[in-house]
Amino acid sequence: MKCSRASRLLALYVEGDLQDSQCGPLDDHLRECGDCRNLAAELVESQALVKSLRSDAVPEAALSSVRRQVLPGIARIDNSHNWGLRVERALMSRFRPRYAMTAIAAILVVSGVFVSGIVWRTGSESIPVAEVIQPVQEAVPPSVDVERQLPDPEALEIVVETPVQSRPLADLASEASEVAVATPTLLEPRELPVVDPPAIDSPNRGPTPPIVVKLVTDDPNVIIYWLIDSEQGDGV
Amino acid sequence: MELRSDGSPLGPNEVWMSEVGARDRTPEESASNAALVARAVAGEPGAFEQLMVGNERRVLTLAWRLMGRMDEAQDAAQEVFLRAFRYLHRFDGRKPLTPWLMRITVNVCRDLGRKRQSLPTTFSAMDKPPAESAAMGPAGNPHEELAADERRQMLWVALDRLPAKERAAIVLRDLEGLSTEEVAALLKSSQATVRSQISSARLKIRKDIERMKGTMP
Repeated sequence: MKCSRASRLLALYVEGDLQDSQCGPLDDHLRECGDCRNLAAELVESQALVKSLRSDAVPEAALSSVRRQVLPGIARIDNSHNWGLRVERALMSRFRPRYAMTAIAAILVVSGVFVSGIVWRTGSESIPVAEVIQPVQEAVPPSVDVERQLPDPEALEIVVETPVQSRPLADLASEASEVAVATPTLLEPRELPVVDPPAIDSPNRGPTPPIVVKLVTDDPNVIIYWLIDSEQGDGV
Repeated sequence: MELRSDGSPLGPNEVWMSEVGARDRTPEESASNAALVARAVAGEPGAFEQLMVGNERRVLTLAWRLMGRMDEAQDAAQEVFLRAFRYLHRFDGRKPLTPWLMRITVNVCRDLGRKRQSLPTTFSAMDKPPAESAAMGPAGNPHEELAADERRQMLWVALDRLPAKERAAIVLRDLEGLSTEEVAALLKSSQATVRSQISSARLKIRKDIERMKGTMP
């Protein structure tokens, strides 16, 4: 056995931490090696010093200081509204820990499934609303593009309205769906009515409401609303 | 082989957890300890305080030996008892409380040690408790007491120079008096690793002591 290995084993040997199978070869080496015997003696001495530290005791003042700090902290934890911890504590105090942990895990899984079900249902219900509103909001492209998108220009009816008050988009959407259901047949083409623009220089002119152009096509599912801000002077 | 109440065998960590602290306890003490834990979990005022008073010296001493400074040890001990209170319901009251608290102490000291890692720490005389015992020298002999105090300082410096894992292993084995198996279970390590750490630490301490002896007048 080499002295380097023997020294590592000696550090365990002096306190009886060495496994029995390793003691024999080390004893043989110690009989032959004076340096390792000296090392063993020094280790015994240093270990005695180390173990003498066991008698060092912490002062009473330090103990009471810890107690003074901990007890108010415990009261704060007790009064806190940590419901997860409270439920867990209630379960664990009534049932054996293993069963309580199983119950907690089951509760978490069930509540997770329930919450994810609610989220999924809410998400799927919101989709049709977005589909109704979206075409109304996007009904502001220039007229050229609108004409190009229409399937049959002959079957186009354009109704120009000048509402007194602006209406919310949701109302327009619902009205759009009603119109679409009521006029599923092909419409006869007719002349576009001419809309007189409001008098721009009128001194008593108030805020002019926007003009709503409703484009009805032969497809009952396609109705286009076009909002025109008349104050900016843009024509149809 | 030790068995759980349901008949299944205990794991290595549970073996020492059931042994340490139970060695000196009678069945009556175990039962009263379990009842005290149950009362503390149920929120009875004073029950946890009783548990704390019974274990505070061991926790603070271990924290002080691991941290090396009394102020940091006090912080660690506070955190240990707060964590223990928060999670006392997870503790199996049929087992002794001390090993559980020791494990929390080791974890808390390790966490705090990581935070202060960048700061240089040295053991100072102020951090040492007063020499309450005359273990190092006969009482009444000032020269012997002075020499004993110097040796104590030397040892603390040598301990402080050790890497954290080696210091934890040597403190638990040589100062707390746990077996290698118990230390391994507490540090969540293998016995071979712990033996290696202990061996290395003892050789370093011996070397430091020999070096410091040479510089001493």
